[in-house]
Amino acid sequence: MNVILKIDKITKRFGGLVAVNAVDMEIYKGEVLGLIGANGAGKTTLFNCIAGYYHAEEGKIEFEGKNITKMPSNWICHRGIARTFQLEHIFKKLTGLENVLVGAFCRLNSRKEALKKTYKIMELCNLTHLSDIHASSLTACDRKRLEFARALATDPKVLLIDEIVAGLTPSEVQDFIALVKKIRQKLNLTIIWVEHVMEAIMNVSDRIIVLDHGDKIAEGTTKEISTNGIVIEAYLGVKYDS
Amino acid sequence: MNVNLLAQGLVSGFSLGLVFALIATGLSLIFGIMEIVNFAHGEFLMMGMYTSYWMSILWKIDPLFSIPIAGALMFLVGVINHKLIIRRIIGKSMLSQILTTFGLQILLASLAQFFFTSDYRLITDKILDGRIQIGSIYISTAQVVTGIISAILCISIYLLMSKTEIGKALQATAEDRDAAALVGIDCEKMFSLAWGISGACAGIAGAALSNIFYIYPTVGSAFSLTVFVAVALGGFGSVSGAIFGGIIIGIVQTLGGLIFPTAYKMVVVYSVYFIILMIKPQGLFGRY
Amino acid sequence: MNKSFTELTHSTINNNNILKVAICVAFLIALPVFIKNAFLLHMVILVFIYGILGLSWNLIGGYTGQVSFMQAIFFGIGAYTSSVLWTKFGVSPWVGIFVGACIAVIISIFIGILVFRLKGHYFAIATLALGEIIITLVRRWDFIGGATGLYIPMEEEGLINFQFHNSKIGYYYVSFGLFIFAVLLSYTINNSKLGYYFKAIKENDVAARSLGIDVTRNKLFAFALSASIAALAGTFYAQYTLYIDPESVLSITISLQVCFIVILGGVGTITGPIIGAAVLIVLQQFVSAYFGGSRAIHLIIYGGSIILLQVFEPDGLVAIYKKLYKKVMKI
Repeated sequence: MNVILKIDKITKRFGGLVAVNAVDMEIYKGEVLGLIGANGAGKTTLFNCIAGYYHAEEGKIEFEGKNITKMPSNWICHRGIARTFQLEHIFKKLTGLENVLVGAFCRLNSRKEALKKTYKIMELCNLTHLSDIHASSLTACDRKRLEFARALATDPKVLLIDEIVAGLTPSEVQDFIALVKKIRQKLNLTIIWVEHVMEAIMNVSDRIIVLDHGDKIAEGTTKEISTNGIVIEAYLGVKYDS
Repeated sequence: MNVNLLAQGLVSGFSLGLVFALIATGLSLIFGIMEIVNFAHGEFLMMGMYTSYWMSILWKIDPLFSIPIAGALMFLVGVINHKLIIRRIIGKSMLSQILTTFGLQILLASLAQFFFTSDYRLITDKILDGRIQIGSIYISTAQVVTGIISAILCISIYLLMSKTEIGKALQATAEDRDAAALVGIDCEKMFSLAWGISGACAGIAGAALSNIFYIYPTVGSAFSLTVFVAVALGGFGSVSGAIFGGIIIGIVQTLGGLIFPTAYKMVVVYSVYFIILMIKPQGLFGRY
Repeated sequence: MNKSFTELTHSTINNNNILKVAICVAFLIALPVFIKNAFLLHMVILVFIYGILGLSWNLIGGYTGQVSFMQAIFFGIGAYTSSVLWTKFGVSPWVGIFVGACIAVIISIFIGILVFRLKGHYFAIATLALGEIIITLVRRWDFIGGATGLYIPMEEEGLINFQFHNSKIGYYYVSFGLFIFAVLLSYTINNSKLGYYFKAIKENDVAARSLGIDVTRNKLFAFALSASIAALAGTFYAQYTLYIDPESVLSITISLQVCFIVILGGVGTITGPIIGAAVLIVLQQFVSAYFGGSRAIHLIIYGGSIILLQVFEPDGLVAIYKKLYKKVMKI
């Protein structure tokens, strides 16, 4: 199993608050890694460090062997790491098609090629019926799927998913889980998924890492994590029945 | 450039700066509450100046006493402006809002030209005549009094915002309209109040300045950009920022005019503005 | 459930639209043949000039969402560059127009690097301040005419000299040519990767970055494009009026008018700036004719209409047209 993304003692502070404290992680190519923890544990901050929105004060992030710690976010996308956002960042005044098209232009210059790619992605995600609708008119679930598809259109090797099923109905969550499984297989993606909805994480992840107050407190398979005493105390609450 | 001249410049600049601070406070308040930059703020100033002028000509009211009258009148104008126009453009794009207040600026300035002609007017018969001497520094009585009045008002508004219930309500509305509404704050009233205060600031400053400056329809523009720069420098939305920004700009403008040829004085002001913005893009005390 | 690829990518270019555009172009080409009235031709030329300016501002303000109030500065750079090169150095205006555009690009990039770190209102005010700085400096720059301005000496009429005296036809076709260029450029950008990147930046620059878009570089690009087109119009204007001064080519009034034209017609569209320019110029002439003399009334109406438009239909005339069209279609 080769390591595609290596996070080496990453520390991020905001003034006096240490949001991420010397966290180490290795992500293997092709796996789905679940990242869980209480609110404020540092999960999104870590994502922002990986994706280039924040620059960590200490530590190193290596992607496919190259140091990307201080790289700006648009370069990181070109390298092959895409992300979705916890708070919606959809292009409201553009149509569904146009949203994904912007993503497709990441690797392509011609409109024709980009449209082909856009179509392929939208078909894969079952979103073609939304192509002519302005994003502001879509339901929350559709907007999340659109943001997901848009990130996929950049042809990433690693996808960072940030609490994407938050606020969705149980059946919508199920649909999303199925979508992620399909995408993972079809596009051969490595995925890191931050989530609070345990059903989603436990069902899809190969491994799970738990953060608490900026520290990594546990790492293992879903079975190991759901029965880990420290994790239960810090976050899960009760023994989660996976 | 000797120390004397420098000191003179500082004193004059500080006095001017205090008036700028008052004008800037009104502007910053509005931005803080509803993120709208009122490009017609200079015209409110102009209206204050004309109020003072006509009070003086028609009813022999001294410009000093016109100050509260102008303040009250422009408070009303501010409220009317909110209820008639601003209320309807609140949700719209920034470009739209900017253009609306620019349109208002053009409208008010041209109305003034239509009714009052473009003649330059000056109030000659006034209490605040003459000058005071402190050491080797001369400062006109008008400058002193306008400076003091502006300072008092700026501090009052600052205290209003930070210490009173109303001030807290205004701040709450600025921070989160919906949340404020949920706790029972009447946001529309808050907006109207803010516009009223803003108008009053400009009106009072205008009446005060009518003791010193010529009055003409486009006098608003002469002050406008300078005041915007002061607000941006201090940081949009911050009352203390506006006060500091106003004072700094007043001093920079006066000193700039002394050191460089007068024609370039505004270039100095804008350049200082740029330099500070490059270091701190959100202004000295800025929230946004 | 899934659409087909062709359904998905149906283009807005269809035979209907091409026909409409072709008719308009043919009409405009033929216009001077049956309209000889110099004043009317002058109005159309003004519409072309402001149309070009509007389209140029649209690139930075409409698409990319950076509300700049210094478009007149680039207009003025074009006007002054070609005029100074001609009057002081004997360089043909046809070379001058190109140099003017290049200088506008360089200056816009320099300014952009400074101001694009500012957002929203800070950016807008910075452009205002910059505009004031530049116009103040030009007023004092005697070599290029200072406050009194520059006269471009009358030469023998002809395309070579970029001057026409007997009729407006020459000017008409040159401005029409520039106008068509601006329209084609806007159209090409609109459907290209660049255009989508501009729109993405306006919509949400955080998301844009996550999709690989270099926001600063694209903003600079938009600004430079916008500046170069405005400069072209500037050179034309200088050759058209044969006199320029800071007030006539650099003032904030012009910049504001350009913004208003675009928003009147419809921001971020191509027809918007064109319609806005046409409506504004025509209305201005009407108002001048009726209320001429007192500039104040002219401005009262102008200011009042700006307010009314923003209050009732900020999306502009194109939006009004679309709404009416929908209503009519439902009947």
